Amino acid sequence: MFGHLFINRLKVLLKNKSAIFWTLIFPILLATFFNLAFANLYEDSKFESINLAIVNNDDFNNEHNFKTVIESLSKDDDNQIFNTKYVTEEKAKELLDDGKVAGYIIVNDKIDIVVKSNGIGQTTIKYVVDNYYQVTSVMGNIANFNPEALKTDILNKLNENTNNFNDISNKNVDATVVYFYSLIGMICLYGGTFGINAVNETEANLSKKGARVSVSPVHKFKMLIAALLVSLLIQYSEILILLGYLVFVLNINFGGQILPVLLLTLVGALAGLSLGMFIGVSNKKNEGMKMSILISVTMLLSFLSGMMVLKMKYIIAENVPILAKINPVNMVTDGLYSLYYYNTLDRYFYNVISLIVFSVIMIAISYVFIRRKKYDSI
Amino acid sequence: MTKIIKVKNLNKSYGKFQALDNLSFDVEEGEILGLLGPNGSGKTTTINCILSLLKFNSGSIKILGKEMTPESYDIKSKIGVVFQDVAVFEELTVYENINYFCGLYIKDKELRKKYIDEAIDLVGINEFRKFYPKQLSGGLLRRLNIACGIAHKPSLIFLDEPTVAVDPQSRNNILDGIKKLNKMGATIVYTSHYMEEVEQLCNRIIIIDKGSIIASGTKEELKDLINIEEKVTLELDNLSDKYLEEIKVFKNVEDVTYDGKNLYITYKKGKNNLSDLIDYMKDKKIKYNKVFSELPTLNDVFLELTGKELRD
Repeated sequence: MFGHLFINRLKVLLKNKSAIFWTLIFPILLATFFNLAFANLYEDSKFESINLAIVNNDDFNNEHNFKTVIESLSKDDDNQIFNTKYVTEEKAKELLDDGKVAGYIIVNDKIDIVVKSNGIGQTTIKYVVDNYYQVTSVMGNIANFNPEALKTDILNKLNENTNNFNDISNKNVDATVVYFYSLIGMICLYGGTFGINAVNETEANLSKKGARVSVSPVHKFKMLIAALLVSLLIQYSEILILLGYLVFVLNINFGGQILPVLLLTLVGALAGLSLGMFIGVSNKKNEGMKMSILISVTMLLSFLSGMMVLKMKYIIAENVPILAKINPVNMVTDGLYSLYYYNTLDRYFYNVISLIVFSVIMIAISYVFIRRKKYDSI
Repeated sequence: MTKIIKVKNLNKSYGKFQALDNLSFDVEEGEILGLLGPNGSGKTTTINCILSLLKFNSGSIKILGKEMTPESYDIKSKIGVVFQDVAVFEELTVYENINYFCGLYIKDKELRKKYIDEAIDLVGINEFRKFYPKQLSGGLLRRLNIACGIAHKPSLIFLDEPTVAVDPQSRNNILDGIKKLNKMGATIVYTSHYMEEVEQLCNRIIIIDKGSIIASGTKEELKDLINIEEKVTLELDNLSDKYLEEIKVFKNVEDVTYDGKNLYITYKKGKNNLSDLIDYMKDKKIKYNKVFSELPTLNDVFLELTGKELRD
């Protein structure tokens, strides 16, 4: 029976030309368009050292560890992040007002960052300072319990972190990859169209086909699981085709880590499918209206992830971080971005787990609706 | 006769609207039971409650001696349902659609193939088996819809207004198919607001209005409930008021109207109504072109019992 359901569902979905266009052909066309549009942006988007001013006061000079970090990141080599000027506070303000630096740092009781706008430079300065605080906090704890260990570990720890920063200063970095990454995120969520369709054709109160299969002697969940598995299979196959096109035809760089990319897009596809299930089952609007809701939500989430305006990703991360954390398109984009930019997998796994949590929540809410066996009205 | 369905004191409301009001009836094995009523009378709601798709407020429903629940898979395997709206996959051909729905009941591929061929023959869509639904006319789509619902040879079939918006040829084909299914042993519950279909097809009829049963029985029994024997129509160009008044007082005459072209006379039960009228016309030398007599219809039954037309 499961085979019968699976094969026929596969036939139905593969013959659905409209769904195949939007979930396979459209993203390939969009990727091609991106590639043509951004071909000349690549050179412009190569990483350039960020102009930074440091207020050269006693507090800064006494904060030896921080000074070491800044000096290390400002060293004129292939891994240089900052182009640092050590100036007075007045001069720092002047440089910022004239737009000659992205921001300046002043050390008093604590390390303060002064900026006038948002952007990659400002985000990077903040990231460095936040990381410094994080590391020194860990070191402080070690110092309380094992001061001897601190002596040997602290430099190594700082060096490790400096290496993290160095990752983003890689001279071959192409910022336009974010457009392609968010496109993949968008396509993962577009798979929700299959999720909407699957629940719509299983629930008696949502469609006539749902009513017809509900009076058959086949358990509803068996039918739904077959439909969802086929949906996931098709959606993931389409994502693999898109990835193949991006890697082999457009030469988009994924940081050379194909297995983590495959895992991330698989959980991304699951997240899209579960979002579709939720939209499909949570209201009684017609299928077209539900598709419109899904596409609108996906476009908005993609926009917030930087698909249309690259800067948006950083603006959201800076000003509404919670939105970046709960946005599944951003989870996919950021996961791919972290594979590309960083040597460590911490941020990647954070995104993978976030996508799994998102999917579980969506499926759990959908289950509340799907478990109904009789309806008030159909 | 075995009672295949037993519905007892069924009540269903949507908020303050009482959709079904204490409905009780049985369906006997081998019969074609017609549920007749105007749109919104509760026919489809009744079917959906029986099929355990809809929650109801109170009452009990038993099919084949067992209480019907959403988990009654053994009962469901013996049921076929044709809903009012066409429910097929646009992406599958005629054959593939029937195969899909039949496959939910019949696992054996060879047996399924045989059943599908028989269903296609029954509804007369053999030459369209490789067509996609969008290539079919409305009538052919309805026939496909029926084939999808009955291909697995169920012993109990629910047909919910299967001929709505269907051309006459397809309608006759569908009605013939239903008769064949019944002859093959299936018990059929047929809902419609077309009284002619119900009269032609059903052994027993239940008339529903506003969620209540207002009458039930064979068509003859239902017609016996009312006081009309026949309705006579005479086509004549001129009739004086004097004659019209004389006709009105004829024996058994219930109602007389004349519109300048046709004279309509409704007779209560009684004998020699038409012959007396023709004798009167001869006697008064009133010329007429055509005369015809109609027996009372289920619409007359509905009109007399509810005070309104069946298709209001």
